[in-house]
Amino acid sequence: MKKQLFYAGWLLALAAGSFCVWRFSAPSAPAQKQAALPAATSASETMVALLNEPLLPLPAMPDLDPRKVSLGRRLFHDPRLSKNNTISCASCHNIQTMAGADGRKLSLGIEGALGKVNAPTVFNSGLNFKQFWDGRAATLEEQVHGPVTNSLEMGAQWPDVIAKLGQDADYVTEFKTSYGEGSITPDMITDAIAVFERSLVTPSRFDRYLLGDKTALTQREQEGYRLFKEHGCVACHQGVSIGGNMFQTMGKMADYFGDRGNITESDMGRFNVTKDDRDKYKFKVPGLRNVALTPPYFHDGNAATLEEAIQTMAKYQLGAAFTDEEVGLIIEFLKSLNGEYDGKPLEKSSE
Amino acid sequence: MNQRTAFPLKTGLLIAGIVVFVSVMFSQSHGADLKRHNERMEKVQQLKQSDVLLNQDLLKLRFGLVSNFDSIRSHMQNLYASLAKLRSEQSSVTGESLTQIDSRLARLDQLFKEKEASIEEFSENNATLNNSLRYFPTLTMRLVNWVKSQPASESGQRLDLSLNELLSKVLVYNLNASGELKPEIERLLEKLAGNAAELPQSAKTDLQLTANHAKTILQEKERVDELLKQLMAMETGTEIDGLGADFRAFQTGIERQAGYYRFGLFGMSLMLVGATVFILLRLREAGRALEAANATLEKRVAERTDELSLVNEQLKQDQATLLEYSKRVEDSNKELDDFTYTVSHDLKEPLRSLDAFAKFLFDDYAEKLDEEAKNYIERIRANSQYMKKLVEDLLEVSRVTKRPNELEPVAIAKLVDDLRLRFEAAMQQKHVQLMVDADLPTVVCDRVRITEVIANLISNGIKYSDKPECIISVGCEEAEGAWKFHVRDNGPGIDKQYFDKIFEMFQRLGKKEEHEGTGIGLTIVKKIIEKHKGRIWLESTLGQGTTFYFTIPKVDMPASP
Repeated sequence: MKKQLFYAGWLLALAAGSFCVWRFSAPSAPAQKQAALPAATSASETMVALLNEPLLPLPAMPDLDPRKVSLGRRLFHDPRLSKNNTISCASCHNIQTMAGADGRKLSLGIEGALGKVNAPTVFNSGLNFKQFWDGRAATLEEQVHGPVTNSLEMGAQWPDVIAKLGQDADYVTEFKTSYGEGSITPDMITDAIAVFERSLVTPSRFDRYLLGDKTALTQREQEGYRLFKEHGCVACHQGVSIGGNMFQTMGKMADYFGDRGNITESDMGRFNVTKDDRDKYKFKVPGLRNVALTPPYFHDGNAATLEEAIQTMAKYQLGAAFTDEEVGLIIEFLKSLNGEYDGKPLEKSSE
Repeated sequence: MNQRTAFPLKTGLLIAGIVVFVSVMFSQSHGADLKRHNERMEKVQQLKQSDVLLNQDLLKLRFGLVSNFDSIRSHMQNLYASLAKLRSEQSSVTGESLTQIDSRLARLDQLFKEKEASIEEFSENNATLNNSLRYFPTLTMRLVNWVKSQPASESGQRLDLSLNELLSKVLVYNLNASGELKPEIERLLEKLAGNAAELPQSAKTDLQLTANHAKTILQEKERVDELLKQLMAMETGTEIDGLGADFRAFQTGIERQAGYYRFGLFGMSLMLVGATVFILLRLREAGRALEAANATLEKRVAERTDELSLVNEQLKQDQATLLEYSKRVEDSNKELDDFTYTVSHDLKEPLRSLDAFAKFLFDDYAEKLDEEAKNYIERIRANSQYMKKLVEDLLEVSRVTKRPNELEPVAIAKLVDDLRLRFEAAMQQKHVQLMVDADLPTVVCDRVRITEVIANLISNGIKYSDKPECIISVGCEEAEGAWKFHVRDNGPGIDKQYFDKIFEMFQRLGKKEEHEGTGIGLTIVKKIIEKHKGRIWLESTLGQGTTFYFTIPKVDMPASP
């Protein structure tokens, strides 16, 4: 009897032991999961990719918190972000009447100070791979910080700005609903403005054309697009922003700055950021959406008209000369890039 | 077996120790979280994939298979995002691996930054190269066509040949990995520049532009290829593989460690099972011994129970007998009481006649009788009166037994005051003073009977007083729910041997002739007190005096009918 019990005990022990080993033994080599491929593209995007167009249609608007968008819109238009309450972001990036720019060669900052570069449009700025002409900000949030504290632009200090905004009960409530309890911080302000700026996308007729609607562009506009591609503009002005995804040396095929003269520190471009000699005169290639509405052109605002800008580009960047007919067609194409915001076509009021 | 009833401290500590040990082993045997490991590996995989796709797209860009940079930008973003995720995941890694993985991630971050910088340069140069590659053949062909449109000439033919050679060589140069054609092309360009002087202005400009583009191609192609080579040679792929290997090594290490703990746990479980079996066996033995002991005990209990029930039976019978006996005693007592009452009552009538006739004889025949006869008659009368008194006392004793008390509140002070009047003459005669406490209470009792009690005790004190100055005092105090009265005298005292006897019927102290009385008084007194559920007793010292105590329990007035 005793013996039998012992045998039963040993059997039990073996069973328990095996269970433990089975339960807690993890496979030593974890299963190699195949990483998911980049998200599948929609049918129209696939089609565009198949055609291998150098230009890409605007993506769908990103999912943004509407409360932050509206808070950002208010901040964007609020002159209290400047030292003496005279300049707001919108002063140089007028989204109502100036297509997100100011129409000036160089922008006017606080107390009439003259800026050092031409103000680019704020529309579609979220699509740029970097911010500022010299790409010194990697994100919109970083970018917002620049003009607010720049002594020539808004000339403010964050503590002053926050003190001013903190006196506005509406702001305090809005910041609380968007960012929770706690006092307002510079990060909250730049975040709200950046979120608002990401909402500034302008789909155009050209996007409809890219998505397959061949009637969206006139024959002349289509011809202009063909020339735009054939003449190599798309080597740099390409992708969804029609630019804004690389740096390029100004004056690749001819000496732009030598011809223009009077070289300033800003003309050093990307060099100011990297201090690498090879980056001298390099600038971020600007996107061309709404370009017809945002003269003058280039970082120095030196080209007053599209004709001038196109011919300058042909000479200094392409090493080519375009006929007036070609330039006219390309301009017609560029005008098809004028987009809509808030359901209305962008405008530039003539001064 | 018996020592096990208490739970020893040592055993408790042992069990606690085992529990802690097993818990530690169990927690350690889990190893690293496999799910997190898989997530990390997945991210490493994504990193690798983004890097590979980036390289692919760079190559495609170089050969014009992709015409925009957006994909490069998104790959770059994915790379940084995956890297950031891996950095935030680091908390799940511990020990030596952490520092290794940390430095690996930092190196990757650095490499990606370098790669991004190279890509920026590559994107610029590549755009320029592609631009020149687009313009150079067009411009060359325009020149060739212009030469062909001119009247045939030897110089024209030479120019045509040179242009064709330039075109083919530049295009081959662009496609060739080595730069061996470069010196030849440079020579050709010099030669063409020499020819330019003879050409008209428009052709000269075109030639200048063509040469510019050719030079751009020479220059940019070299840089682009160099950058591309650099980019392709960058050890991002190796580093990413290394990162994966680091994570895997970390996981393997953890798993190996966990394996040891699992083995330990397995051993522990074997030991525990063995111990359990051993304890079970011991318990079985103990159980059997207990069963045997139980059986013996039960048997003995049964025997004892039988014995006890027998004794019990006997006791019940005895009790019944006793009850029967006491009932019989009670009955005979009652019979005796009835008899006494009847006899006393019936004896009174002949006694009264006897006394009456003796009186008639004395009164009517006084003259005829001599002194001796008169004396006899006197003695008849005295004896018959004494007998009558005796019968009345007996009757009283019987009455006390039979008739219930008539309870009412009685002010004892007033009662004693009345008694003082009754005994005034006797007291004066024997020089006795009665002293009464001022605060005698009001007691619920039978007024007549308690008067009888106190009168009896006072009259006894007077009767037996033998001192020139006699004092009889009456007092009362409270004692345990009762009134405790005392009647004290300073008379001759009573010998201790009579303390109980004097309450018996016809017991008298001293000679019968000395003190009058029937010898029933104290019997009546005792009966009355007992009827009131009280107690009577005495204390005495010979020659100094006697104190009678009696108690009357405090009762509420019964509700009047």
